[in-house]
Amino acid sequence: MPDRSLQPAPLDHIPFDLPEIEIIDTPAGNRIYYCSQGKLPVVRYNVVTDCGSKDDPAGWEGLCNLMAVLLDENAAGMDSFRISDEFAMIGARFKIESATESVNFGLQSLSEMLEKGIELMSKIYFDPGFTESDFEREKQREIAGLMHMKTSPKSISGVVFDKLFYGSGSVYSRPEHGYLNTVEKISNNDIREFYNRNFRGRYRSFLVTGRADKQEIITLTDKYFGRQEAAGVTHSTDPENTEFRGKIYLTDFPGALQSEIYVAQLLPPPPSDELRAMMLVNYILGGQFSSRLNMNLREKNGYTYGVHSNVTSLKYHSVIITEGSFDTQKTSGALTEIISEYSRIAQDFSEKELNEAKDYFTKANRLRFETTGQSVLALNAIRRYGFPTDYYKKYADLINAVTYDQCLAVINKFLNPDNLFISVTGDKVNVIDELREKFPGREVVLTDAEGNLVQ
Amino acid sequence: MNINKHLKFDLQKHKLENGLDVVLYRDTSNPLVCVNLLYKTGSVNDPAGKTGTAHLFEHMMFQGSVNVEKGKHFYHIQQAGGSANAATSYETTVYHEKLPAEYLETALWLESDRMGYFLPALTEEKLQNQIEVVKNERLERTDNAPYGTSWENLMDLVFGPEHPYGHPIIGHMDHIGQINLDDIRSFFGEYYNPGNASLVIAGNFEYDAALKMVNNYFGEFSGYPVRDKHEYVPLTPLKHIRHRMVEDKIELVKVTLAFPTTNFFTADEARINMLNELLNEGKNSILKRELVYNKQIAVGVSSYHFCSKYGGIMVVTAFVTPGVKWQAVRDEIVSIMRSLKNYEFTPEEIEKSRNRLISDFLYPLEQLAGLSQIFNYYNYYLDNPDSVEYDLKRYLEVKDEDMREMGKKYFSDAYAELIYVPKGGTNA
Repeated sequence: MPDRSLQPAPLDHIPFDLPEIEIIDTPAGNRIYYCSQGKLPVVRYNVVTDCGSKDDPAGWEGLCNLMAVLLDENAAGMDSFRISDEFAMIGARFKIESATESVNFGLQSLSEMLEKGIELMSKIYFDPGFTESDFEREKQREIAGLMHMKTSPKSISGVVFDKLFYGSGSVYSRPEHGYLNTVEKISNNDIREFYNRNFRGRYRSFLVTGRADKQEIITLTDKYFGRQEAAGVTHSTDPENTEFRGKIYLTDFPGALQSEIYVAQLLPPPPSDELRAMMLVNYILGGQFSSRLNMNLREKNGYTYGVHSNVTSLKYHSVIITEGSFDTQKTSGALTEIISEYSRIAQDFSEKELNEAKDYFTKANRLRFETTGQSVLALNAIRRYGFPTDYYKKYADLINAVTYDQCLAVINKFLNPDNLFISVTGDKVNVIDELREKFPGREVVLTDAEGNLVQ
Repeated sequence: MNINKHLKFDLQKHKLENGLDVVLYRDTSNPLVCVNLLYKTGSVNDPAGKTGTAHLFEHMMFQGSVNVEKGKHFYHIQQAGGSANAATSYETTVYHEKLPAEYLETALWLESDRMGYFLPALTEEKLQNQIEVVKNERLERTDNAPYGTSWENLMDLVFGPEHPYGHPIIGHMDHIGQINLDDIRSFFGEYYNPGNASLVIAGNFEYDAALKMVNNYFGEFSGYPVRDKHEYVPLTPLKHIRHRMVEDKIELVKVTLAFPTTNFFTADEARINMLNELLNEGKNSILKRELVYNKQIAVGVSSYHFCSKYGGIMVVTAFVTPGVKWQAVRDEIVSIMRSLKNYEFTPEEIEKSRNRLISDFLYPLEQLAGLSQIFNYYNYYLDNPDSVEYDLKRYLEVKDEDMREMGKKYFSDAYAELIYVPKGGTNA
């Protein structure tokens, strides 16, 4: 019979080397982030282009996304049916995703079929048709998607957050799918111009992992994606915005049964000692199921199905966001508890908790390269933030080097409740009075579903 | 594409004296291990008037046991660098952990403690807390989400409230609050024992050591088999078209059609799934080509074959292009489904579907957690965890005339239609 009163001791440590990551500069000037791994004959081949919704001109939000949608509707004389069938014939999965800072071509292929997949990708990349009929259809579908998003409190709160957290002048305030009125005015000519000016010649990087021969990858990349010049220097765009301090933004969603709450603060971009300390603090605050926020608001009070805080990074900044859906009747109570957890962590953050957070990150790091999908994420972080190729091998040392004082410093610098961004999307008539009553030091500011202030 | 050698797994299957099925799969490519414990119960066993019991019970399993305090299950897994979760379906409830391999014993300790020592730690306070959590889960996923109630409406419309699939897994809101401690205790007593469970361990471990650990932690509990309370009764064909219209806070009209089919792992299931590949997958699939591209009467369309132990339905869902009448979309879908019995599939259509299916089998095998789940489902439904190759083979054997036969057999008769329209609109 086992002694069940104590957690069993771990077995002997299993030696394991993380896979080698290489940065390869090809003869044609392409940069490939490469990692050979796995035992299945599959490859992930991603092309990441430095063009995203950050490049949408003000008033033309949604332009990059619609361009990305149209790329594989027609290319090199092939219509969308043919393109889709060509990938299916080789058992490959292909998709294009547009984000704030990048457009990503993602290919998942059997190793033996890789060349055909790359050839198809290059045709889509360099020779899109942008036909009028495709444009009209896909634009109407995007508009329908935006109409749908306006009925989802979760989607609305994301759009409102972008605009009011970053400030309407920031390129980061622009929602990837745009607004109804901006997408409606986009023409196919705008799409073509955007493609030629912002996408086609923009620097592209390659992320390749799986069972793929390195030399073959170099050859195929240069053959199908040709020559490009080294990336130019891009300038940091500082999204610092403090307009939100002292406010609670409230977006009315009449009849909502739950309120979507966002609490956020801006952080430095990686690599940064401060950010690493904040990741450890976040583990304690809300990064895991058993973190303070979830244990309080879910497991003690039952206000929500779950609440979590996350640290996410873009190239020039990071954000810590606490997000959750709360029973409408508990809205102000939930917000009170969230803010109290931000206050409390500055007072009773302990060395024991810090060590537990370090334990998690160092142990979980060894599981980071199980699948090709996970490896692509790691390669992309190296590309985006300029981490060295041995970053993950030295990751445990970096984590263990963070001190208690560094954590306390970032708590005091970034988690001061007075400086937090706060937004609520919910049923105004049911929540506004209590918000005003419980948070007399904050002005409740009403917004519409696109984050515009309303009277 | 020949991937057969990648579909062979060196599995061991054991049965403990108390009836617990144990499936072991050793893979040393990574320093991790996955534990997947399946209990052969789900929402089909919810007591009358207490829908949601099986799902709420799953929540209660994380509320602590004699040797593991409330909140500590996740804590111990996280401290090992791992992750954990659970899922309730109509007929199974699965608890799973993924963690560094040296912590295998921790996962077994946690799972066995709540299998054997759950009841003494149960309290009214814990239950009331999780009732509030589950009510919020229902609000978040169902009642406060656009179209959130559509699946439960569809299942009710097709199967009816008396059928095991006729009520929502999460339960009706007014039932969730009615579940009491006696219900939880009864559910545990009836379904949670090693004779009604199946454990898969996959990853970096030694077979003998793992089996010894399992015996050590689970061997002491008494087990007994649990008899099915339900049996499969074919629904087909419906006698007449069933119609339901729901007003919701939405902008786009959504048309959902459901055709009763068969139950799981029958020859017809594979044939219908293969047909679904052709209907749904890729831009040149039959439904997308006609509704979204050629006629442009829908901004999105998809189909899905839900098929499990007590029945199945082929579900086609379309979001109607603004300005188009939903009846036009409904009629087009019906016309397509009716035409399948005479459809001339081209060799290219067949080949691309097969290739896509092969890759659909291959790609998920990268992930050990997914693989352990697959083994456990095969073990439960087929009594043989090593069935990946068999499963793929039954698809590859499907011929085009088999698919036409499915069109004739299942998609030529009445169906159920569920229409979601904007509240206060003029779409009816």
